[in-house]
Amino acid sequence: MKTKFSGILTLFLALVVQLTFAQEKTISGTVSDENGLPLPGVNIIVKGTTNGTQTDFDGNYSITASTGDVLSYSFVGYTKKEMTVGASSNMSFSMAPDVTAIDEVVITALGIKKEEKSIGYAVQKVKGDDIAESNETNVVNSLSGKVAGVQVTNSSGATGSSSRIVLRGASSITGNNQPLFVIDGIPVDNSNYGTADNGGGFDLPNGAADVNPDDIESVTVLKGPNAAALYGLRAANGVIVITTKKGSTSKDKLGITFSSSASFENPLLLPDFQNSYGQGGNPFYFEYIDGQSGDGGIDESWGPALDVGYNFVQWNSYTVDGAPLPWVSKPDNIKDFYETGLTLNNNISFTGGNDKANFRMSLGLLDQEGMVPNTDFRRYNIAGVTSLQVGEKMNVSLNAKYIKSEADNLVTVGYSNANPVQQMMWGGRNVDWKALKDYKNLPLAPANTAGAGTPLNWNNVFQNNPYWYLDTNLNGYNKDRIIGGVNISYDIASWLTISGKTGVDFWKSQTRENKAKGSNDTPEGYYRVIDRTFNEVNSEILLSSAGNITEDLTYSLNAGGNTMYRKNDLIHAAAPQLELPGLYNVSNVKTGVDPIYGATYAEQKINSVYGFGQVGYKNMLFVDVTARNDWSSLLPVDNNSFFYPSVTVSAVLSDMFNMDKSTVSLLKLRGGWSKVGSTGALGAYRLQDVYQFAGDGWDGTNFVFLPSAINNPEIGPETTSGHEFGIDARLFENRLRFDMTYYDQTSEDLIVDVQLSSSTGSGSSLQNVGEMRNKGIEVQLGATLLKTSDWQVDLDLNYAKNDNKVVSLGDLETLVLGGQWSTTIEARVGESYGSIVGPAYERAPNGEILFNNGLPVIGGSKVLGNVTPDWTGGANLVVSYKNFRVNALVDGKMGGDIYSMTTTWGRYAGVLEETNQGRETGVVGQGTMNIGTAANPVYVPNNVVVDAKGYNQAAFSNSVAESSVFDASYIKLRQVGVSYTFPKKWLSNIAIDDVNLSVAARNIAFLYKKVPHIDPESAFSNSNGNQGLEFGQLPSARSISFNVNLKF
Amino acid sequence: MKKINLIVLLFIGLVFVSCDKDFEELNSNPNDPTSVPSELLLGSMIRSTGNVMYSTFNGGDMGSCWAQHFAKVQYNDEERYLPRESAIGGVWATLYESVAADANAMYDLAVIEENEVAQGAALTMKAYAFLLLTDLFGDVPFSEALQGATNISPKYDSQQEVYNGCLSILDNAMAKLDPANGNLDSNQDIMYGGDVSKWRKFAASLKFRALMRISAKDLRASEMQALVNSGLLFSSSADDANLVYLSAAPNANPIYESVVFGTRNEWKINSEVVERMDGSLGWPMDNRLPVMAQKNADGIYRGKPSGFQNVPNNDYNYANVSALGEFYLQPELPAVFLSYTELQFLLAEAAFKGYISGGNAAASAYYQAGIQSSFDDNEGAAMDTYYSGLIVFSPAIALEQIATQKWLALYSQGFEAWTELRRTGFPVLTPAIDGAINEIPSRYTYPVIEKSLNAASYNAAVSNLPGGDKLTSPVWWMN
Repeated sequence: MKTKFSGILTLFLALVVQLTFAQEKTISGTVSDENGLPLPGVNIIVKGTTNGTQTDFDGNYSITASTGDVLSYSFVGYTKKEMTVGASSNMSFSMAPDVTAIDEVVITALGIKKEEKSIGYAVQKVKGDDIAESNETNVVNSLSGKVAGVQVTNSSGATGSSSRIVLRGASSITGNNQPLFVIDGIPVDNSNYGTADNGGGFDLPNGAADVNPDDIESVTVLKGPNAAALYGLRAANGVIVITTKKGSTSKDKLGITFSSSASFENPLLLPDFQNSYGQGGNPFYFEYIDGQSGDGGIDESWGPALDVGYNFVQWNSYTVDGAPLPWVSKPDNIKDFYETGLTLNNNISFTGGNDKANFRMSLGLLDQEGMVPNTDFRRYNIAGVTSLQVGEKMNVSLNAKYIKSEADNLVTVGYSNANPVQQMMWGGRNVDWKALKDYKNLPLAPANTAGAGTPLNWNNVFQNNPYWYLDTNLNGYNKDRIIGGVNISYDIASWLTISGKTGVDFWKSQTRENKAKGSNDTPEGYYRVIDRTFNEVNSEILLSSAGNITEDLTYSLNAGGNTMYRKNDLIHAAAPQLELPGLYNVSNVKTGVDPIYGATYAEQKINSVYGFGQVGYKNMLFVDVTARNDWSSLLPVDNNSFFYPSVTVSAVLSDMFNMDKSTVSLLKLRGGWSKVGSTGALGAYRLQDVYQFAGDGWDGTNFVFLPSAINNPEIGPETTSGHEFGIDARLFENRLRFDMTYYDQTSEDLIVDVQLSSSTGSGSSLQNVGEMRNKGIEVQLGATLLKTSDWQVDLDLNYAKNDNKVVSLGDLETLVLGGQWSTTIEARVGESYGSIVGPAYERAPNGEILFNNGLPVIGGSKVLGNVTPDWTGGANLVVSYKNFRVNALVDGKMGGDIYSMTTTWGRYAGVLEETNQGRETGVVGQGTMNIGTAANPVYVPNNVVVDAKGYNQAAFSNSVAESSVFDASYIKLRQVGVSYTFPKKWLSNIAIDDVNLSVAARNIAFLYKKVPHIDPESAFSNSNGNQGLEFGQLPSARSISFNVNLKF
Repeated sequence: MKKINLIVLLFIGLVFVSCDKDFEELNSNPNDPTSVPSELLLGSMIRSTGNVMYSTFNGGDMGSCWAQHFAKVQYNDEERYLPRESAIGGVWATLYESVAADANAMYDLAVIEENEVAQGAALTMKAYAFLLLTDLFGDVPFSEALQGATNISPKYDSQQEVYNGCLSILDNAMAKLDPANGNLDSNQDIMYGGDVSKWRKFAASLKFRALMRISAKDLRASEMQALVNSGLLFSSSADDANLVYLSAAPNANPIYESVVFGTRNEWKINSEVVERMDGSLGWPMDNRLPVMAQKNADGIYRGKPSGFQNVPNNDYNYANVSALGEFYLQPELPAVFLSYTELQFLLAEAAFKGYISGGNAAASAYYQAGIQSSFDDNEGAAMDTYYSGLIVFSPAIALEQIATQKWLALYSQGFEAWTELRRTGFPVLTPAIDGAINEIPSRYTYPVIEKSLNAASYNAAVSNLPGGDKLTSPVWWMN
């Protein structure tokens, strides 16, 4: 490796020597685009010579030439410009876009802008306008359906929920499998620090959701390891490069934009409940005593028939002195629980500048009220970016973002009585939830019940009054974050620029869990606070050179280094029981109760050097080479260095063979090979075994224990290597656009806490094992179906099929990633990542379910499905007519399964519509029974009638998962929007330059789905082990937003 | 100009290539100790053991319910012999990872410290964990267990080998637990407050129980007699190996945490217990009943027989089945690892069978001492005229009497009550109504995960089980 690297340096130095002979007079200047934004990568050549250069990141260039020489400036997508060198040594100007242009500029690794046609790997850009159009508050969600091979899963419709994004499938067993997010050149933390899983806790936004979508100029998705090779070990799952809007150099006046939107949300989907039978277990009688003993203590709906004239004593009979009340259905009781969510989003920005300095400042205010009562979320974004030209050779830019996020209450998810949906699924169908809402005026639950002292509920054993719970037991959150950086570049020579950059991502967050005395899960109250501090600093130096070797041969060469330092601190403390009610502070711990506390500090550092370069021939054949070496502090000192190379080729056939531009505007073949390393999920301090403090003492005595996980002093990095090939075509003057990529990448030496038999004394051992392979294709097809002076109709389709396979896990056959109840999500050898494994029905020899005494027989565990989808796709239609624009987006995910315990418990508890079946007549389960003996079986169709409750509780429970695993395929009408831009002539007499009004509906309807009762796009949070599992889903939000955008 | 460029390049190279020297320091753990005094590990393993034995989902559902001390009025799958896989896996993982492995680590640290008593306590806990494991599962990894990544597929040893091994561990423990060697950390020793002489009695009494357990297969009468003669067995309830819980969760008794704190009231008293105490079987009235149960909504003591798929129903529900007694629902209810009371019944059986000296007279005396001690354990309930009629020691039915009184005395000690029921066969109980199998289980099935994590060893172990890996396959000492 060392020799390779010095080879590159030698080449670099050779160029230095060669090019320094041509000095005559130095011309410098800045090239900007039509909006006054700096235009990097513009090719500049002294006509008739090989003397050339390129503009740097800030559009600056300098070149040596003599008076009278003609400088030729070219950049794809812009009209070529030629200028003669005169007396002035400063030649700054803006280039005009070529209206017939078909190529785009994309921002690639390390923020380098490149012409799309010179790129040898799959890269896709989403424009800021498209992000804005989705009106999503989490930028990850706005990518859904837009980019081939990008799989987005929004956990739920609750405020503050996270979203997961995976490019080209999972590449790591235990790493987070999500791409690196880079905002304006600064890698930012996209982790989710929520506590949500199948058993409760609450979700928090993924880190990248802190970004204000209104600030985004564009998002570039670098999908494969080729694209990401330059970011090193953190980029094995791809990179999302977010570029925010910058100041303008062309306007001499202050530009102001203002946007405001109000969005209203309601549940897209609720389970189908039955409305024919009420609470209890006795089909003929019900009596509410205290909500604990008697029928009121049963949180199931196997009780008497509703709406047939019965009167029973019910939970609200206190209103009539304990007299019976009519036993009637409440079909809308669940729907009525949800409120209309409201999201207000206001943004204002100011831009300005001249040719020496420019700036943009923005302020964003997001205020959400959730559909679940008393849930909320707020985010305040302040961003500033400024760029300053110092003299002719130096450019300084500075950007800073401050983000404050907070919530007074985020809803609990999963199987927990803190999740309000739990008591919808374990519920009484006769209960009028609206009557529970005014809990302040309800009597208290009787003294001998679990909920004693709290407002009355329809059941006082398993659940509290849901409205009281949500108002009282708050999950609070706040986070203050600063993302900022400085970038200095200096032109050492006309062909050589050095730039330095330091970026900081710093945040502090706090989550608080308040639980009042009398809460079902914490009768003596509870309080926990978790404080986190995160700090990451990246410093980079990059030396860049670009120019012409001969008139036909261009080159660019870069060499640099980066050092990353990260510190992640966590301090938590809890009062497991409270002394005084209603005071939420850890010092308010009940006498005799040991507080729970703990702290972890984690530091890590990555040092890197890299070099990359491109050679272009006649602007039609490009070869790119990258090389990077990382040293990570997480790995053993003598084995902490790893090297990643990549090479890509792009051949523009349409130029090579002089194809007719009006027919074939662009035809490009590309291909590449790369290798990327990763430390996966490896945290700090995993090299040496330790003891741990238990964190909860015993009457003041501190306990120490031996942790279950064994560390490894010889752990090494994971590597992902692969190749990809693609073709890009633009036909009929860009009316038809086609991109296709095939990739095949393999990840090896995966870092895994390999599960051990407990009999070894340990639960797991840290090892490099196994191999996972992803291969697939991504297709983008775009067509301008109609284009007249008034009309334009564009349709863009994308499709991605990824074939993921766990090739090996060392000595293991399977590795458990997560689970709920008796079912696990596993990585299994020979299958796609995310097998759903759980107890299945016993089968008769004919393959049918075996019944015994009319009930299905439950056998052992087996693979019941797989979380990984077969393919994902989207279709985006945009119709413009004069100043109107209509857009519609449909996206879908086909294949993949989900284990929905909403079905399990909803059937067990008799609340779902299907449980109406056979209530009066009994149920004969479909299957086979043995009427012979065990030794000599005689199989006949099952004909034993059993009662509906017995059948449902045997066929659906935590003991059997098979009946609740469903195909998670869906196609959603994701978005429909209409916008209208006021004609300029209307605005000529007022101070407003631009007015745009729009209405957008999001998450509108399912066009196709198979899983009953729930939205298959669901997860407890965005982590690996929480995919493919569902219970008590907070419904996803269907929203409609009204937006105003003004430019002054 | 050229010079500057070279300097810049060199600078970059130097800065970024050579600055990983502090990596080792940066990656040294500031959170957790790499070594600790051995005795700091003791408290955690005692608590883990007590919690798994008294967890309503382990010792409750698959101990007390199978011994028919408890019965559930809802969610009673486990009571009907449909165990919860996660509970089985939890017992296995806790005893290996949180008790036996920690005991091993404590022993190793104590050897370095030359701390004999800490070695002795560690060995006692290790033996306790393995004896519990083998009683629950049968053959289990023992000789090759606890080696971490060094041996990831430990073989399963026969129950006989596990017992042999544990007996010699206990001999070793007794030797080390010499009060002359000093005391244990009184704070970490949440069982005996550091009293080494009591630890030695625990090790000796545990050995006696183990010898009795295997006596039908491997009778070692002389060792039993030697223990009796040594004077090292428990001499009163003050010697009991008890973990007395604290007043509040998470350090309260798990029964309290589940039933009272967690308001899961489905664990109720079994009719098999009530009938033997309320006079309905012709037995004398038993003053332990008001301690073990509360009156139901109708003001009487009413138990529920094991089983019934469709509960709660009109016959058995939250209101009309008696709850566990308040004594057993208090947060400070001790987790009993081994009691003087149980030991008296074991001694009675040993004397009656002639394993130890004293004959029927000694057996009767031990038997009566056991009954008295059990009343004492139950809040000092008055014996009154309990020792009368069918209760009076009678050689013709002595084994049943001793076993039945032991069974009553083990109320709330789910694992041990079920284990001794399996060994003695007394009292004779009817399997749960609507049970998945038609007999009281003889063992736990192995955790399902063993099939994939330790397949070859697991398969070899299963091939030695008479009926395969089933609840009904008897363990060695039962045959």
